[in-house]
Amino acid sequence: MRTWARRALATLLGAGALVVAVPNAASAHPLGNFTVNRFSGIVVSSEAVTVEHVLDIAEIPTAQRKSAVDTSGDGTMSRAELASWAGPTCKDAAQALQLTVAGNREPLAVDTASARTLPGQAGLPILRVECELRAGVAALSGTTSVRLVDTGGQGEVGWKEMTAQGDGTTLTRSDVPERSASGRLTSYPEDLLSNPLDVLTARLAVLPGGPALDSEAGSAVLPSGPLGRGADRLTSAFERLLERADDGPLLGLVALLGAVLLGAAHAVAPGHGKTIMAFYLSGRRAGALRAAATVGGTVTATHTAGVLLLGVIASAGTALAPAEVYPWLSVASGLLVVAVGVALLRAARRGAPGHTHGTGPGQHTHGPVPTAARARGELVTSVAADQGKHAGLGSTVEVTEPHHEHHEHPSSPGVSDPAHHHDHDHDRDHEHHHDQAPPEHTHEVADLSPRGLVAIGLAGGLLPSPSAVIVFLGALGLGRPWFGVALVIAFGLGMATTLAVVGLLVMRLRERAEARLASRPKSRFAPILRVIPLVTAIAVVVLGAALALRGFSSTGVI
Amino acid sequence: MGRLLRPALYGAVALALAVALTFVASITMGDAGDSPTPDRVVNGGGAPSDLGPGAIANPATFIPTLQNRLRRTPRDHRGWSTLVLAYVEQARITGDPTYYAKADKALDRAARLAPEDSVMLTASAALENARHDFRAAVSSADRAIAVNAYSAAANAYRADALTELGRYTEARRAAVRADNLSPGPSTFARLSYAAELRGDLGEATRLMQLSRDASGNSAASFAFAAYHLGELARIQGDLRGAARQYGAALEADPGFLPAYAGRARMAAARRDFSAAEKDYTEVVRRLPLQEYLVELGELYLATDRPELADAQFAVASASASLAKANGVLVDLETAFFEADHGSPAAALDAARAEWDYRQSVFSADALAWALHVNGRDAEALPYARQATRIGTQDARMIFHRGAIEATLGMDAPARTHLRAALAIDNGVAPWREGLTRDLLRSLKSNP
Repeated sequence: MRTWARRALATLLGAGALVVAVPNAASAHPLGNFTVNRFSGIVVSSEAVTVEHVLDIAEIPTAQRKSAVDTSGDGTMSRAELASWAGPTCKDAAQALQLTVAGNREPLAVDTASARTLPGQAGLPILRVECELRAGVAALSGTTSVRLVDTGGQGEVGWKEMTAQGDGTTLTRSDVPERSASGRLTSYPEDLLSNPLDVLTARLAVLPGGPALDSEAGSAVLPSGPLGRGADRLTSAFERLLERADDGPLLGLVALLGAVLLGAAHAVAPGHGKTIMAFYLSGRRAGALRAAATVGGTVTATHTAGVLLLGVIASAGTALAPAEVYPWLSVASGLLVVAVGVALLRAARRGAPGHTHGTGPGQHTHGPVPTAARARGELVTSVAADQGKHAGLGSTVEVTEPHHEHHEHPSSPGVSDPAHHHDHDHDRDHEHHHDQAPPEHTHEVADLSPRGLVAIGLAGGLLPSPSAVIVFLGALGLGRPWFGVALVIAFGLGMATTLAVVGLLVMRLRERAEARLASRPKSRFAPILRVIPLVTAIAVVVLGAALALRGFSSTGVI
Repeated sequence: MGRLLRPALYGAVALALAVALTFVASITMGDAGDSPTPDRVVNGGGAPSDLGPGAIANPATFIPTLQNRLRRTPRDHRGWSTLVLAYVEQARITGDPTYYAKADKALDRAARLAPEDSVMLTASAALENARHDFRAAVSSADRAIAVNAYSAAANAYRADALTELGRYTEARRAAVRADNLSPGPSTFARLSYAAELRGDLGEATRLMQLSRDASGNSAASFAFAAYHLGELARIQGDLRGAARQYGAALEADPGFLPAYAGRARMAAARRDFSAAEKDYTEVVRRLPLQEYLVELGELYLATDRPELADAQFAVASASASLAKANGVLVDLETAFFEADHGSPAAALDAARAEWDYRQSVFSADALAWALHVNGRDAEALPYARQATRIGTQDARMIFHRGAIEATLGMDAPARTHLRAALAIDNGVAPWREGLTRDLLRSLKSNP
């Protein structure tokens, strides 16, 4: 059993090592002996636009240029011959590059020009031309549009790449990347599923002001992952693991474990769901564990269903791209959160005035100060007790009310209404609380029914994680759909558990603070605690609205 | 309902939903995984029943879709096989050999996932054809057909390989079989090529017209057929008709370089050397293939500019050494180039290797001509006869036979063949035309 676990761990670590080792296998000339490859690196500073133009010319086109370079006709391309050939070549390149700044054509002048030969295949040379081109521009004011079009080498086969960076300026918009994917035509990425770049136009919007360009960073190569948006390295590692899951039950188990971890990682990554969950749970006082379990369960179920649905959509064809579904899911999720927030708000407003019945023994107060008892972990017992009491009563509410008994009116099923109190015939509970002798104890004012919890869970799970979709599709690709479902459920469980734990931690933290404050009831911080439910409710509404708006703005409807 | 039951109900609903979705997913995915068989792609990839040239009617748009899908489902072996076909097609259209390397690796993936899959074997045949490994292509296609006898694509690639190997009867049978299974522009084009090799230019033209008319909305497929119609018209002396066809090809697909080369040949036949030079220069700038470099060089020779010709030949020779370095087994063009403008010894080596590998009319011609430039005309004659054995109306081939016969003192057949070469194609190369006329003149003055 131990070696078993160790092998599983080793496999996971191996997958991690793969992530590190895989970056970009690149080769010297993957594009064939016919190609002329061109690169233009644009740098926009406040007074000039410079273009670093590079030509990487493969063996045969080099042979075609040989008679033009070798003016002495001695069969070699000498350093001097190369230098004198580079000038006019860069001049031609400068003329072929059409630079437009704020709508005006700006001619590029050659700053430096150099050419050298490098050894190619079959003992033949290849040529590398490097041109520094520059156009002075009037000082930028406000957003300025910059456009570069390379009209050179029309119809030639080869890699055509452009990059753009600001130097003391900020590119507010750019349709080309900052870094070269080929290390300025020195190492071309070799990916079975990608095509040679064919970029001959760059459109930028430039704003004056910004950090100076770090020339070191400018030459760095940014590896571009094989997977699209939302798929991180962890996911790629997992996919590789998945490919081997055929090999035995052990790897299958490891894959399941990996899915749980992946889900946990997804939950820890920054995102809206966590914030809302944290706010929501921090507004709760009671039954947090149980509430967390309900929310977590719903998140898992919704997320699993969502991923499966999206997986089916993605695999069925291109009729409805997942990218188009996401914004709408985001809107739906946001609206759900708003609804939950509004319900919380109503509850908070109704409950907020506080039902303080006095401070003497046998009395209790409906106020937002918790008992020290809860902070000491008696929560769970009281939940259990509560459950036992209410199981037969047909109430829809009290599941989340661990220590205070009241019944919900059927007319207001979703929200517990502290205004309607029923007989308090649970002496045991009262004793329990009074044992702790708190000056006050709380009646939860901003709680929701399970329906509210389910709604928040739905909102959290409605947006399927791209990683999970990829994992699911990977399993389908393996021809093992059931394994895929298991993986997605594992992913959802990992996610839900993490979310619940985060929520509980936030709650515990708050309780700790409250408990400390409660020991000093005269503290000037006490009033703050009173408004917390209101604040959290408002925060949930705002976050939900933001989520819905953001989703709506990317639907393309407006 | 008790509140304990409610979460349970939610759970049950969610589970039922999950089960139902998985069921749907497994069905639709199973379907999607099987759908891009070459026949489907071939038949449904834009133009109906399009195989071989245009196996995938529009690889430029098809490839990204396929790449995206394979990113999500990397174990989809049919997907990888289809990608191989698409890459081979893209390499053929763009002339960008990078795609062959990619196709090779994609094929590796497919073969590892499904070593006996008929689509994978068909894709393998396509790639081996592109690599000039025709024997391997025949065996791959045979294996594909053993798995799926109704694969039109496998039969089509088998026909291509057999044609290149000089096994013309079997090739024709395979081409007819592919056509019966799934008639379309590319099967018509294959049958047209078979007719052209037999010297039946009328039938070749008719079939190529069928191919053009069936090309549907595929620009590449249309341009391909129109270009070949232009070539057929030009060989038959109809320069006006040829010009029309090249124009139509370029209108459909302005990037279709063979049509530029065809237009250059036609301009040379009209003695419009500057137009020919312009088109050839554009072709070699974009795609410096050996055959185009040699044609441009020969145009310079015909117009008395030997230095410019030498520059082109130098590039052609670089191209030949690269082919050697890259392990290309056989190379007809190298044999002809070395014989005419390079080293006779190198020409004989290349032609011999070529003939040992395959016994097509073209490799027979190459060996005959290489023996001739090495002064071994007696040995050359049987090969020259082999080259013309099925009646191919190729001016260069017939000129070679006439020249060998002239050297051997066989004046009557020499005269017949040299005149035939001039009649077939007075524009294939003004330089070769000059040689032909010189030879004819020497035959006349030497009764």
